[in-house]
Amino acid sequence: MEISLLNGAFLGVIYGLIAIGLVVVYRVTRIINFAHGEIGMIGAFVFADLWLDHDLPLVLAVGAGIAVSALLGVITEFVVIRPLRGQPRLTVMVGTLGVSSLLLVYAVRRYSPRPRFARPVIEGNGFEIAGLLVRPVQILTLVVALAILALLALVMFKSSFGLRLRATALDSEAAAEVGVRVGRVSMGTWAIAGAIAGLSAILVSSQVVFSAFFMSRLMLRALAAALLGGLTSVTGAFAGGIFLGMAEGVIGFQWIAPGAVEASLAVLVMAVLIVRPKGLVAAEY
Amino acid sequence: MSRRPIRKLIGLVAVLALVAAACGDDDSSDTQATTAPTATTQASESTAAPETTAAPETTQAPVPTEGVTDDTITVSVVAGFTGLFGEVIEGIYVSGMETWLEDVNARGGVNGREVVLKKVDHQETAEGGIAACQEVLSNGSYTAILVQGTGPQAAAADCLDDAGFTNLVWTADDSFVNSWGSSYTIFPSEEGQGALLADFVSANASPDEKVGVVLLNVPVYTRIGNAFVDRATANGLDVVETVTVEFGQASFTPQLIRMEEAGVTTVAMFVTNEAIQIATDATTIAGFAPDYTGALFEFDFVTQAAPGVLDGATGLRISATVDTPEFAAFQALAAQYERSSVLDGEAFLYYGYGLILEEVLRQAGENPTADSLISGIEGISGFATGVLPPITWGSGDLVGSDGMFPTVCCSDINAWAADGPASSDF
Amino acid sequence: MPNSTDTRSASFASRLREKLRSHRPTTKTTLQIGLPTVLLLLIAPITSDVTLFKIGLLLLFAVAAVGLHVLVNWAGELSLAHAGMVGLPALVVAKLSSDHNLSPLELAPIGILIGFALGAVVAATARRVSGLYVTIVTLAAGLAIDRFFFTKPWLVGTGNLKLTAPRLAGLEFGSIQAIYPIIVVVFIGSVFATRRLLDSKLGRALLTVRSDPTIAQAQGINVPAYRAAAYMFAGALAGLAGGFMPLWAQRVTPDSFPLELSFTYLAVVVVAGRGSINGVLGAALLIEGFRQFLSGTSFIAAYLGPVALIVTLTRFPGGLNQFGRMIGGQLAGVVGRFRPGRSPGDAEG
Repeated sequence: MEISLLNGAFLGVIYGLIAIGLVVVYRVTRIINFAHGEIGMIGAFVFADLWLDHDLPLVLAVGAGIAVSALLGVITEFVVIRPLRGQPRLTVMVGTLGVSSLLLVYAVRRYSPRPRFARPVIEGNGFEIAGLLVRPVQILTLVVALAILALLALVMFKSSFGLRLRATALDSEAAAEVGVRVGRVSMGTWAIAGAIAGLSAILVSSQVVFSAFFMSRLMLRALAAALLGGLTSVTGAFAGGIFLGMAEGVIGFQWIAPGAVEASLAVLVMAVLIVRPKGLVAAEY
Repeated sequence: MSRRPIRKLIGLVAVLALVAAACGDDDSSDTQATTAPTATTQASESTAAPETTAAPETTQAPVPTEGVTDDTITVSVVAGFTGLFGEVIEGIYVSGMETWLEDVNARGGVNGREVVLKKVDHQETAEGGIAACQEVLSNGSYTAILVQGTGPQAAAADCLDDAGFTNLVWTADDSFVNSWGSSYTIFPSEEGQGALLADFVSANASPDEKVGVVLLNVPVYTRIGNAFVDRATANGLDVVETVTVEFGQASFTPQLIRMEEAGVTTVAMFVTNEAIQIATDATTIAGFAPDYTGALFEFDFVTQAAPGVLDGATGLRISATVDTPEFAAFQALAAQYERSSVLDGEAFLYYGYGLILEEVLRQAGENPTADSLISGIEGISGFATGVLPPITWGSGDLVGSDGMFPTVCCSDINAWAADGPASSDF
Repeated sequence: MPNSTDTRSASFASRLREKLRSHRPTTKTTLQIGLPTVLLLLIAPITSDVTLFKIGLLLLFAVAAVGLHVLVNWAGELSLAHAGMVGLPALVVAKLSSDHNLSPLELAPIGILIGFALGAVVAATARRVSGLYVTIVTLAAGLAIDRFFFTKPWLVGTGNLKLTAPRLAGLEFGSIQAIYPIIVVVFIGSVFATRRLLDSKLGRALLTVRSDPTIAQAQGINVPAYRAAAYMFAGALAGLAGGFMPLWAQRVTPDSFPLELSFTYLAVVVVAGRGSINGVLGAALLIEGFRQFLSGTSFIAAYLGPVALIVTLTRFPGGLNQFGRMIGGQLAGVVGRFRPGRSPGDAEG
């Protein structure tokens, strides 16, 4: 049981890391970006291509992967989100579904739908805790997630961009009236979220089966994690991810009936939302 | 015109159409108990012209057989040619079946006729399978070969079977295979493959072997896996744990911990890509180093995506591995006909489909008819290509092969390697 | 003593009954129903079985999409469980038919009841949350249906369900040519019943609820009851489509109702936009029709779907209905030039 919980916690770090990116977009635009996973996935494929197939140094390949995802975030904002400003949120969300579908089609045609080799960005023997071998890449993912949370806090509360971002999140029309260039803030937000998606995908690609679909599948859990965290709180989303991962660990260990894990997690999320419609965590950040 | 006549007229047309449609079907329902399409079928043709071969001796002109001309013979190939995996299937088809097609036609065709293949898409859904069946029945094909898919291809083959249209289908589950009269399977049924694997594992098991089974929560995987469990248990194997996992699950550690606690020594996996992660996750559990076997993950694209992870795993394959001389010959042929875009085990399998199709068409005779197709298929005995297991059909025996190829992971190119000839007796 | 909720529900039901009863067929209505019916029926003899089969699938898809249209574009609600709400009734009907040798035609109405009940369950869950939370709650419900129910042997058998021959009142329907008129009736009936519903006070009440629930409440509209009714109506139409799916396809597998299908339904109603059912039919034809008839592995075919979705949304955020209104307005303007004194009419509804 302890191993399941521990393993679940590391699994939850993955869900939480992806959920952070979702919340970053949601805070400013009030929409769920269904293309978040695919934006990251493309970055991970670019990284793998450059690092493994073209022998580019690791740091450069990681940078290129993140840059591509950030760029895709910006393009999505420019092509889909901006023209749909003022439209019902559902319309905008379906727009992101279109982007998600487009990127998936591209990845399948460019890289094949089949799994491909993914080497962890950091290798080593790892260390054992309570009978579970923790791999270096899992620790790195945790460190990166915490670093992203800290960086976001810095940007949000200690920079002028953060001030503009918070103002836009609070009331975009009022922010525009006092001189905030809402369009730029929105684009910056999508770039940050895209970069987080790319970095998440690069780290996660070696921890799951790496194929064009790997982020799409994790997105459902990340969405649930973001909701459990109240959708507007990045720390809440991260905590929600860890809660969900640990719940999955315990349920997966205890209940082996077909569909039991998926069904019980779905019921758990629904139950939490019914009891606490604003999520488990009521944090501002 | 006043209002009433308009309403009456439209109502009358609608009612007449409904009644005519329902009544008009009474005739066909006498001969056919299901809702299969009522397009012209081979069965009805065969009753009209039972012996086309005798035609030259009479003064009557021979009744033409659907899909057969003096120069060509047309066959439908049914697979999931569209969707996200469509391009992969297309690539395999081009490298595998088109290599055979080019080759057979370069050799003068079959019985002097050029072979023409028509691709028919089942869209990876059951209703897509029915649409594919209707297309096969109406596109002027002599026969069809269904080479890929589970539910969709079973639906298509069942629909063709209802229509009495003789066809070859790679495999299906027992509930269909046991009910068919016109759909001939090439390989053992899905449950048959699970049982055969259980025999294979039992034959190689140590007395204190404890087996844990991982089933992907998708019908075809559970069908094969459950058949494995039933036969393994009957064989006296100790199956101590059976867990079900999900498609794309991010971690299998919770399920593997159960296995470790149950003392599992061999994990039998009925999954595909997930096999990579199951074997990887198992390495993180201290003291857990099981052997691996199972079904549906013995693809080269799985092992090549995770070099070393599945080393030592064993299993059974429906087609030969890429380390065989037959594969080398296929490679050379594909290069000759410039069909080398996808040269893997699956393209090799599709090439094998071409070879068995060629034999079926050859056995159907120089004057192919619906009847000669059936007698041709049922006349095939011990047809060995080295690509597929030896195939024998007979009257009332619609399952072509009851054997499979033992295989082990992995060769120096991280592909599955041969571990003996195809067999049904382990 | 009846509580206020019961009274409001009773009032809601009685208004619905009254509306349906008060409807008198006119020549216009007869033409609106009769012409499409006859045109759809006339397709059958002139088309191949495979094309007719795909048309039937498209009609059933449209029936389910119309239900979601009412939920999303009229009530302002959301569901990502729609594929499950079509699939579960379809599999229940198929399993009953397969196991007990019952005609799927006689069993089809059960689909409506199951869909209705599922709608009620989702409505009860969605009642506690609002906005985007509904997205996730319904997504979770869809996931639970897909991963739990669609994998159970007592529902899906071995995964391939084959049905018995459809029959009704002694008549056997042994070919798709024979079954097709039934599908046409289901389609036309659903579309026009929904249209009548939306033209009524009910439709207007739903619009008010969507625009501002507080104002709706102030006007005496029972907002929770209308929200729940929209979910149940969407569920019933999904169940209707699902119930008739086994009759049409004759073989049913859970693969036909993947979770992603819910996103397709949602995309269809968003591309349709607020307003007329015509938009849904157009969007269904565009998205599902494309998949049925024009899909392929070519470069253009692979990218056309998502690109068309993005372009349609960004060029016409109000969907095809907005586009239709724009074209209608322009046509009316052209006509108006020749007929002074008449202004372009509003095409919505």
